[in-house]
Amino acid sequence: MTDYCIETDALTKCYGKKTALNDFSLKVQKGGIHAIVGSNGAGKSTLFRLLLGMIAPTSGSAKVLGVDSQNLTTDVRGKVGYVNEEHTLPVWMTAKAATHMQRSFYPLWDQKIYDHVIGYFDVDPNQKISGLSRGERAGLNLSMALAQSPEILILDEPTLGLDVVAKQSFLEALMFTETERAATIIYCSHQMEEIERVADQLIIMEKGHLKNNSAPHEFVERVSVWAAEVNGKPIDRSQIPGLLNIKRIDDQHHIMVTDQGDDFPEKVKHLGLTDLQSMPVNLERAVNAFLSKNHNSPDSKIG
Amino acid sequence: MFELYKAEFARYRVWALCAVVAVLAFYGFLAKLKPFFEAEALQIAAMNIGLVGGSFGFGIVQMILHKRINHWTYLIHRPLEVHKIFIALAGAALTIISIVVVVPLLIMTVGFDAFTAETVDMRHYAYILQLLLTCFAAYAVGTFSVLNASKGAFLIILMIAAYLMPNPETDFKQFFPAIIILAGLFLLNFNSFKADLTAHTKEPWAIFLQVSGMALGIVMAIMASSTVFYHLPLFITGQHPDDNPYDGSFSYMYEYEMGERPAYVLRNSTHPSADIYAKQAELADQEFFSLNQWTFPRQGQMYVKDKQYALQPRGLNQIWQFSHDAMLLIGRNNKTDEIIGVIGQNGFLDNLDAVTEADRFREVPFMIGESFLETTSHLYQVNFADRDMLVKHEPDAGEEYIGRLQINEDYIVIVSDKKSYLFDKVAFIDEFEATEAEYVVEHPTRPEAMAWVATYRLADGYMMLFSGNDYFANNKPGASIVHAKLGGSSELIHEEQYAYKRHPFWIQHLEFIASPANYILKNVYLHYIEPSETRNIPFKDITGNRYDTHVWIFAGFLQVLTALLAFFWSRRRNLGKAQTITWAAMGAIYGLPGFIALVLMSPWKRDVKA
Repeated sequence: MTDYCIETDALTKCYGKKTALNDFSLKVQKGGIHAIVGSNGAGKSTLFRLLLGMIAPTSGSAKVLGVDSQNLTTDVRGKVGYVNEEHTLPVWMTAKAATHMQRSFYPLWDQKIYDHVIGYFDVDPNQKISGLSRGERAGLNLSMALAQSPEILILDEPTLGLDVVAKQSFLEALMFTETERAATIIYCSHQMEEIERVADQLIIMEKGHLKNNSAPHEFVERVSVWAAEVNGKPIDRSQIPGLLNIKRIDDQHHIMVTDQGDDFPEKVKHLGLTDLQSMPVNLERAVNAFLSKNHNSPDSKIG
Repeated sequence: MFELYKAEFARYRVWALCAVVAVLAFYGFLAKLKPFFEAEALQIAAMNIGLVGGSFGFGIVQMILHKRINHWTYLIHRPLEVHKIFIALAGAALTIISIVVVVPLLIMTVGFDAFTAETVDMRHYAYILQLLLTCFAAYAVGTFSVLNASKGAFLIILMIAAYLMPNPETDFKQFFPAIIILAGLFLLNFNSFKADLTAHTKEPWAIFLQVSGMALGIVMAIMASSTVFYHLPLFITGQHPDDNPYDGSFSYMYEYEMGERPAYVLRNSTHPSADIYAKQAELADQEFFSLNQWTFPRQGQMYVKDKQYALQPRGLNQIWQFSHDAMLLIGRNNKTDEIIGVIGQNGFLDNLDAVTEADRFREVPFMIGESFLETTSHLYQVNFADRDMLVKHEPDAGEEYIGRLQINEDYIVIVSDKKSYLFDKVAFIDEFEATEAEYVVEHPTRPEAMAWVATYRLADGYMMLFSGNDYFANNKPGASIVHAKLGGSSELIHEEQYAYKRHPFWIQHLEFIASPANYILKNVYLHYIEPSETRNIPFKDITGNRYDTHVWIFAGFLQVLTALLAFFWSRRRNLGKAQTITWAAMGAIYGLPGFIALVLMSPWKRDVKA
C-alpha cells in the first residue's frame, strides 16, 4: 500500500499553445497539511482540476488514493473533499436543506464534526445560503466538507475575501479537524501567515513546474539573505550563485540567495561585495523572493 | 440522487409557478378573444415559441449555470455516478417543463370538457402529450448543445422542427418517432454528461447518432451558404440568372405579365388558333387556383392541424364542431351552450342517442366556409335553417379529391387527383341541390408537378395555363395550354418543354448532392408518416429517373471525396482506429455534412507543449 495519497507523474496540461502544467511530478504523503503556493498562473487550479478528473492531461498521469484521476470512482470521490475559493453552494437552498442534501451522499458523514465546526461560525440553519455572508458561507462549506470525513481535503484559496475574524475561525476549525482526524489537507493560499501557521509541508509551484516540496522550515533554511557593501562598480548578477533578488537599502545591498552555505561570502568576493553579514529570513519573505525570481517585470535591472 | 433532484427542482419551482400563472393568463386571454381550441396560426406559433423554445432555452440555461468551472466541480465531485447526477438534473427539469406545459393546458382542456358543451375529444388531451414530448426533445437539444464539446450540437434543433412538426396519418406515426428521437437525444446527453466536458465524442454509436441528428441542419446551412458562394457573387458581378433571364427558359415566363404568358407558352405551337388564344388571354379576366395536394384530416389528428374550427352559419347563433371521437358534427347554441343536434353522413339527427353506426362519417371532413363539408369522396352542403344535408358533388369513379374547395372571384373549383371541376359560383352557393361542374378539365400531368393553374375567361369557357418545374417528371419543366369548354369537354392546345435550367445542376439539386443519404432519409421518413404531402418524395421516385446520371455521379464523387477527407483528417488528428473508420463511414454515408460534422466535432485548438 502506497504512503502517498496523491501522485503525479510527468503531468502536463496544455491549453492550445499555453502550457499550464509542465512535466509535473508530485508525491503527497498521507496526513498533515500540505500548503500549495504559487503566483497566479502557476498551475494550481489546473492541478486541482486534473486531480478531480475535470479535465484530461495532455500527457502524464495523476493518481488520487491510488486511482487514476481520469477514472475516479464514486468511492474515491466520496473520500476527497473539495472547497473552492467561491464557496460554491446551492444558494437557493437554506443552510439546513443544503446540509441535509450533502449528508445524504456521504455514508461517513460525521454530524459531531459538522456541529463542532459550524459552531465557529454564526450560521442560521434556516437562512438561505444566498443571504449568508462570505465568511458564513465559507464556514458552512468547510463544515460540510469536513463532516464528510474525507481522507483528502483540497482547499483552493478558501480564505480569499474573508475578514480577519472569519479567517481566524476558519483556520481554527481547520486545525481542529487536522488534529481530530488523520485527513490529508491540501491547502492552497496566497496568505503566507496562514501557511506559516498551519502547513506541515510546503509545495511551491511556478509556471507549471514543481519548485519545492518540503517542510516550511526546510525551505526557509534553503534561503539566506546577506547584507553587503558594494565597492562602486555595478554588480554582475549572473555571477551570484543561487540569486533570488537584490534590494538596495541605503548604502547596503540585501542579497537573497537559495541553496548557499557559509562559504557564500567567499564565492562573491571577486564581485566587489564586502562586509557580508547573514540576516534572518522568514517564510513569507523567502517564498515571495522565490516566486518573484522569474516574475515578469518591465525592468528587472537592479543597479 | 433523489436529494439532488429535489434540490434542482427547488431551484426552479418559483419560476415554474410564475410560468404556469403567465401561461394560464395567456390561455384565459385567448379564450376571451376566440374559441380556445381554434387552431389560429398566431396562437400555435406563440405556444411553440413560448413552450418549445422556452424548453430549449431552459436546457441551455440550466446546463450553463452548472457548467461554470467551480459549479461543475461542486456538482460532479460527489460520491454519485455522473449518469445519476444527469438523471437528477434532467428529471427535475422535465418535471418543471411538465408542470408549465401540462398544468395550464390541462386546466383549460378539462375546464372546457367538463363545464361547456365545447367538443373536446381525446385528441385535445393527446395534443398535451405531443406538445410535452416536443418540449422534452427541445430541452434535450438545449442541454446537449451545452454539454457536448462540439461546436454544432445545437443544429439538432432543426431536425426536431423538421421531423416532429408534420401531420402524421396515424397516432403511432405521431408518437413513436417522437419517442425514438427523444431516446436518441437522451442517449447523447448521457454520453456527453461527464466530468471532463472538454472531451469530444469518441464512441462510434454516439458519433453516428450525433451526425445523423446534425446532418439536416448542416445541409440547410450549406443551402443557405449558397447565397454567399453563388448568388451574391453573381449578383455583384451582374451575372445572376435573375438579372439575366434567358429567353426560352421556363422561368422566363415570369418575366411576362400574367396575360402575356400564354403567348410565351404558345409561341412554338402549331395549333391553328394559337395566336387567337394568345391575344384573347391578354384581354381576359385572369385568376389562379391551386393544385396543391392537401393532407385530409384524419381521425384523432392534433387539433392544431385543423384548417377550420367549426361551421358557424350566419345569423343562427349556432356552432357545429366535428367530434373525432363520435365522427359526427355536434351543434350547440352559441348563447345557451345547449346541444341542438348532430350531423352524420346521412344528415341531421336530433341528439346523440339517435345516432347509429351507419350515421357516422367514415372520414373526417374538411369544414369549409359556412356550410360545406368535404371528404376525399364527397362534397356535402348543409342547410342549417332547414336542417338538411345533401351530397353536392362527387368526383368521378376512381378519383379522389386532393384539395379543399376553392372559392374564387368568378368560379368555384375543386381539384381531384385527375381533374379540376369548375362550378358556377352563384348557383353553387345559393342553390341547395346536387351540382354538376360547368367545366371539367383533365390534368395534363400529375397535379403534384404543378402548384398553380392560371385561368383566362374566354367567351366559350376558360383557357388554362398549367405549368411546373417537374411538369414532364424527372425535373423537366414544362407548361401547357388547355381550353376548357362549357359542358365538360376540354382541348389540349399546346404543351411546351423547357430544357434550359436557370441554375447549374449543382445549385438546383444542392440538397440532394450535398447528402443523398440525408435527402433520402428525410423524404422517406416524412413520406412514411405523411404520405399525402407531395413535397415528401417517395423512395422509388428519388431512385427512379428524378435525377440525371450526372447528378448521381457528382453526388457519388463528392461522397467518396468526403469519405477520404474524413479518413485523412482523422488520421492526422491521431484518432483511434474505431473513430477513424466511423468518421470515414460518416463521410461516405452522409457526404459533405459527414465531413463538416467531423470538423465541428473535433477540437479546433490542438494542445501543443511549449
